[in-house]
Amino acid sequence: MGEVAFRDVVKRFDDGTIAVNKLNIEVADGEFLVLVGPSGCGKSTSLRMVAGLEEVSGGTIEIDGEVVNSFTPRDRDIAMVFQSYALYPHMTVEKNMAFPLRMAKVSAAEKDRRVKEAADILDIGNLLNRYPRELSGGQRQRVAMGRAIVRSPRVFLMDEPLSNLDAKLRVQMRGEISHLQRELRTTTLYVTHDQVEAMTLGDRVAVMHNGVLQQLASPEKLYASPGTVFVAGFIGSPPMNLCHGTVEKGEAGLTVRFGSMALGIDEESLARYPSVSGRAGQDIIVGMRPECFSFEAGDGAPGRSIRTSVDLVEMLGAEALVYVRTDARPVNTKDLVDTSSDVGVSEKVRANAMVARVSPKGLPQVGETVELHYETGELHFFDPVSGLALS
Amino acid sequence: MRAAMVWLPLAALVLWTVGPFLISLSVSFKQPAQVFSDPGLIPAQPTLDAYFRVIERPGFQQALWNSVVIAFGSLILTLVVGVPAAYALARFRFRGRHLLLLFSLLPMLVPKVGLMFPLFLLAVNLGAFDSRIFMILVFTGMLLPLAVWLLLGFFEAIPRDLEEAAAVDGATQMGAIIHIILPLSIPALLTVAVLAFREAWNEFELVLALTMTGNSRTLPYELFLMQDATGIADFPVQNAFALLTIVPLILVYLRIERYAAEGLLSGAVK
Amino acid sequence: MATGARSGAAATRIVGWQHSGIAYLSSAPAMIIVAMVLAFPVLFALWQSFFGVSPIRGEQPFVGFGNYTRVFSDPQFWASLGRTAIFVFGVIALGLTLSIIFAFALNRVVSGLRFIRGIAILPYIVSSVAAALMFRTLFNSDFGFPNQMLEFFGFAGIPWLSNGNWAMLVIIVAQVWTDLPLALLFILGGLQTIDKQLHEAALVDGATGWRSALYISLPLIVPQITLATVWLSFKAVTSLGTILALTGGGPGDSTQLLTLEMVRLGFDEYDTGTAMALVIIIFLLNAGLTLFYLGLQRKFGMK
Ligand SMILES: Nc1ncnc2c1ncn2[C@@H]1O[C@H](COP(=O)(O)OP(=O)(O)OP(=O)(O)O)[C@@H](O)[C@H]1O
Ligand SMILES: [Mg+2]
Repeated sequence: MGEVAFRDVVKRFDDGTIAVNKLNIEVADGEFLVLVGPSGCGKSTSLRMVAGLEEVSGGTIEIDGEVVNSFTPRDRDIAMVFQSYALYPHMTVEKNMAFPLRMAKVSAAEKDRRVKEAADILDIGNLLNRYPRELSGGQRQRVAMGRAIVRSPRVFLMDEPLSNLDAKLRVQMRGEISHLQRELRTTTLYVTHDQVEAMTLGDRVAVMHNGVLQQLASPEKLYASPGTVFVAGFIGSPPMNLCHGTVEKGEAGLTVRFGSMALGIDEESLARYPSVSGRAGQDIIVGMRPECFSFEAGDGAPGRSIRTSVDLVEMLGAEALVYVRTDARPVNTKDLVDTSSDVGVSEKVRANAMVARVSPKGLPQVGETVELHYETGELHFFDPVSGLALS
Repeated sequence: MRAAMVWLPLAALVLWTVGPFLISLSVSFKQPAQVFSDPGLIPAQPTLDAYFRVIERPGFQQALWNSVVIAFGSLILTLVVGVPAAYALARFRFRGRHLLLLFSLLPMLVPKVGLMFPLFLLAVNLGAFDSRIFMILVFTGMLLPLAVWLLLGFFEAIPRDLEEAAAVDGATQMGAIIHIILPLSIPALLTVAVLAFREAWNEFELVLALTMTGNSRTLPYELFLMQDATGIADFPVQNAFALLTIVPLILVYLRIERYAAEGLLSGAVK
Repeated sequence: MATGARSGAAATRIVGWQHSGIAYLSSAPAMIIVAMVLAFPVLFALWQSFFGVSPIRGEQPFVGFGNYTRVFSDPQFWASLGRTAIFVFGVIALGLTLSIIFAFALNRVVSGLRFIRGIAILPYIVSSVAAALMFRTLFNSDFGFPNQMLEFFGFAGIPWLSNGNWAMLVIIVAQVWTDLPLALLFILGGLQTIDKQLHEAALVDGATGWRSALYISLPLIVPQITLATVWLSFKAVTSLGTILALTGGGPGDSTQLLTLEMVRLGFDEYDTGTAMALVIIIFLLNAGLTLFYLGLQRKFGMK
């Protein structure tokens, strides 16, 4: 068993910082749940409260229905993988992995057997007599994992376990963690600020921002219907184009105007955000996925494309990013910028541009005026005041 | 020319430091009369006679035993008392913590010579005059502030992660201290141990104030008394004695010079 | 390193690991011992200095500042204070000169630094009495090394320990010898933290070798020099064992410093109250000197 529940959990530090605010999450037994969000949003703090490394200021944390707020870490039966790995430098790999068993007073024979078993699973059987300083980053990571699984705890907690690895190794270990978790079926809470990790690993993903849970949903759902402007601007790479606009009612139906551009609101999109029809004449935030733009005309229906000039073209190989000029008022993206995204476009370009992710064939020149078509059913709408997705 | 600017002072440094040792060593290998008749650095007829005469002195044997007991006693008590205090100051939040930290500045304000009488009177009033146990307490007190300060700094520098990892791995707080904190603190523990040992081993003024008989007198005081007692100075014996008191410390010190040099600095500067 | 000590940043936040009760319990023994052997005696000395206490007489009349006025009206006190001043000044002058020169040289050592530094620390582990005896041998006027040298070059030997002025010089040298290691380490530590680039910049500007050391490094290590000064001064003002074993205050009274005077009053004349007054005066002298050095640093230091 290993159900974890946050109920109205608040964390206020001594200096008054509110790191986590009214957090409510239920993690099912065996589930892989990822906490994701920008730096400082309270992910680690949430995880550490489950581990008992941080007191809870308000609300309760439950494991298997039992309130554990006042339990020492020892009494919680959890295991944790730290970002720094926190391997004991004065112990060999074997001693490191055996440490939780030693603390649990497991017999010597049983201890050896389980350490060996875990070492085999992680393929570090040949490293058992080494000291942590004699290991590579990836090997240390494995040892840290080994130390966590050796005891078969109720819950695994992992705080950015891959962030100290190079990109290639990170992808490999990501796969292994996913595989391992599916094999062991141990409830796992995983913290990362990398949305790709979050989307690939999580059964469900909880997006946090400023200590507040923004949305908790499956990766598919998170991508398809972001619940808040923040989520929309966080998930996807590059993330959704977001700008202020107004809904207009014309003879051809509803259109959304942003700056000097406009797109017709198609039936499909309207079906997903029906309340938009009641917002004619009102301000709104409109979101457009970069990957839903293309240079090929779709069904040729009117109001399905925008005309604008190209600011910048970035060739990524299999695809290209085209930044086009817009005079729409951008949503303040300061705190929305996905820190993990490799797309390092300057704030300035971003502020006055929309980005389209297109096929790399027949790319336009910088300065050229182009016609960009937008897919049907892919418009997203948010309330400009609350930031919530419209119903 | 430029090189001379470096090696000349270095040679001077080595000569300045080692010279007195060498001369002392040379004299200790001579017979008393040879000291005058054969003043060269290398004795014409080296002899261990002076060392034997030192070792055979009952006063030396007793003082050596006292020194060993008191120095190891102080070392152990300093660690036994200092480690919990340093851990508490490093990890616990409690009222009066800041006040207690101020305590550690006391030795820099209070010179030992000033403590001779007050401690003498205290010892007399407690009936602890001429007692090895009281001396262990006193020497421990002299070094504790520095010891706590060093250990505190060291404990604070141990990555928090490691203790947290131990906690989630199922260790109790005591378990984490025993299995993680202390093994990682061995350099600091060694430094403190040596400093405490040295403090007790070399102390002279307070021994002068707190002892009366050979029962508790340590080596430096015995050495001091002997130079008075030898009448016409017996230089070989005096120097052999002096060197014999230094040798144990040199052996230990050279071993941990690396830690100690840093420990001394960190303890003294911060 | 120890900044956390003040802010308490290293305090554990692990649930169930904060116990103020245990905190008090585990720091109590240390605090009691320190209070007993360090804090209490000072207060006790202060209190006693107002009484005409003597262990043999047994009576304890309150004399107010009587002991202090006795001390201040005693020409012996002023004479020993004067000798202490000479001694302390001599120790600082010689100690700073040597530690700065040696530290600069050590700072240039590329390989074997640890070895030479290890040697340089050696005097630190010698007890004051042992050091005094070694210097008695060294400065013996019949077979001591300095006199052998002098005679070798055709000069007359110097009566090192039987002439007052020379004896003062010998105790200064012996004192510096024992206390140089830490002063040296302080200054070396300061030099080693100076940014190497600073030197490179200076080399480009044409300053080289000792010049660059003088103009660039020296002002930057003023704090460490101050620290070394405080240390040397503290040790010199409170020095007792070295002098007692080396000259015993002689010849005559020529090396009878304040500390020796204090021992004479207390242990030879059983005039505890006056001795305690002298103890307090030594405390204050120390504190005053430390403040004076810090003031100098503020006035002339760059930092
Ligand atoms: N001990 C503390 N005292 C005060 N504030 C703290 C403390 N620890 C964390 N915080 C604050 O709490 C907030 C959340 O911190 P947390 O470490 O949970 O962020 P995070 O989401 O894990 O970020 P990152 O991705 O950078 O690890 C931050 O604003 C941080 O500054
Ligand atoms: Mg974090």
